Amino acid sequence: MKILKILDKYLICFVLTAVALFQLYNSQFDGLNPWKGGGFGMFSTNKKNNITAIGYTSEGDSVLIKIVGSKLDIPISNNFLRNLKYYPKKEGLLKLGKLILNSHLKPSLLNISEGDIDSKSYNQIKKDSAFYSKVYVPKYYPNTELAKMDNALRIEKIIIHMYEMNFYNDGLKFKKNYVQSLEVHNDKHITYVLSP
Amino acid sequence: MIQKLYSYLNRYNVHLDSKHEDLVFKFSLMLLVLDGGTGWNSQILLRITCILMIVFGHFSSNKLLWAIISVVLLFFNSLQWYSLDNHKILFMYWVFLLTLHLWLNKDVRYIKSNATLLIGLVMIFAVLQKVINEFFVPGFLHGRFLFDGRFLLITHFLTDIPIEELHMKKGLVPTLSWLPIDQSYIEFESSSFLNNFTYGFQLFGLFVELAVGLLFIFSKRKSVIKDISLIAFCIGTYFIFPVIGFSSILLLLGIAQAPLKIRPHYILTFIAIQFIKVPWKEIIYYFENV
Repeated sequence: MKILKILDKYLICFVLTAVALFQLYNSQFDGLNPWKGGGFGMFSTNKKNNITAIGYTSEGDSVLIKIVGSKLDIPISNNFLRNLKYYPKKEGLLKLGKLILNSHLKPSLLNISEGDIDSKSYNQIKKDSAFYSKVYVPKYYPNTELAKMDNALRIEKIIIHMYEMNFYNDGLKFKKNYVQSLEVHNDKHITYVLSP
Repeated sequence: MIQKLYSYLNRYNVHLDSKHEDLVFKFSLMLLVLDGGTGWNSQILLRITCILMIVFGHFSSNKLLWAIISVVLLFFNSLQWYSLDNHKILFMYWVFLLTLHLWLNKDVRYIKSNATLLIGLVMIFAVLQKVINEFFVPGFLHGRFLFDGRFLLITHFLTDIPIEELHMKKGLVPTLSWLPIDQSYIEFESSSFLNNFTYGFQLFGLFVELAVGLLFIFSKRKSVIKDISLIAFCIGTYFIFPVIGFSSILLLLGIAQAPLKIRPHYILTFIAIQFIKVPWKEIIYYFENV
């Protein structure tokens, strides 16, 4: 009875505690950003999830994809993408892959100069300059003619690579570390999830 | 029809026993108008409902309208739970609490004791998260001062690194985020002074947060030390970290639990906190370079 009385008196505080503990578990073991989800971890870490993607055309060419959301919810909603970045669950990543597969990708030039990024990565970009010279943005077109005019293309497979970005005081580096990958095909199934 | 709705709603009006409760309800409605919603849909609903409740004062403690506000908040917040700021979540708990207060005919002590505990819990969880995420080692705040746009002018003042250079480096972070290259990084420039300053501030902030949390959980109800610590925390922290939403809800909770003699100090702090919006960093920068 005493427990019921305490529960009656402090129900909301118990709810806050339960949600915060659940958030703590998810942020430590399931990729949820500590800043979000009701655990009061704002301003506690610089760690953030990072989602990158490479698309593959039917001819076998690979293209670098810039994942951006849209206010108009076409093809990727800002809200959906924001939620996914803070808590990248497999179902959400699969949905993201399918949204990109079902949209056109518009190319734009990508310019990375020496000094913008670490020298090892810069050399890799230079070595693979055809791949890194353009970045493709998912875009909605009402018809394929308009897409063709923009040189937009479609892909049949996408690999989403997950990273964790963090600031390292030693060396003052903002660095990304690989976590895992997810492959999504046009016939709407995942073939495999790569381990780190 | 409006007359019918008016008399129907009137049935759910609750008479508040004290001016303190009235102040808390009206203050909460005002914050709901200013910062309650999380998107256009909830903002429109909340602004219309809460403005009418403030204007027609006898509806400010209408239990049906508070229940509707609770449902609206719960529905729209749950749609974007994982991108929601924590102060919006805390505010939602607070609205639930006020709704329960009305429906369960609780007295003012219910509001006071829960507000005290909510402040304590929020502070303790904030500390716990920081401890778990290695906040004791230098780096967190140093990093924020190098790539978070809100702090770049302060970094410029403290290090003399040109602001254009700081913005240029910050602008490289999105590019890095598109590249599928493991171990790729951007290197920042800083000074040992900024490193020491940010680390000192980081540890000081953690200590103050812990102190506020412990004082609110363990000190006596009428103790004013806890109130002084919370007011000092709000003024000291939120003029550097421009997050007016969190300071506002903390001060509202402060008003709700404080004894009469302390309440004006919370209200004055609430007024002072509004000056966070003054772009003082930009003004200093302007006069430095004019």
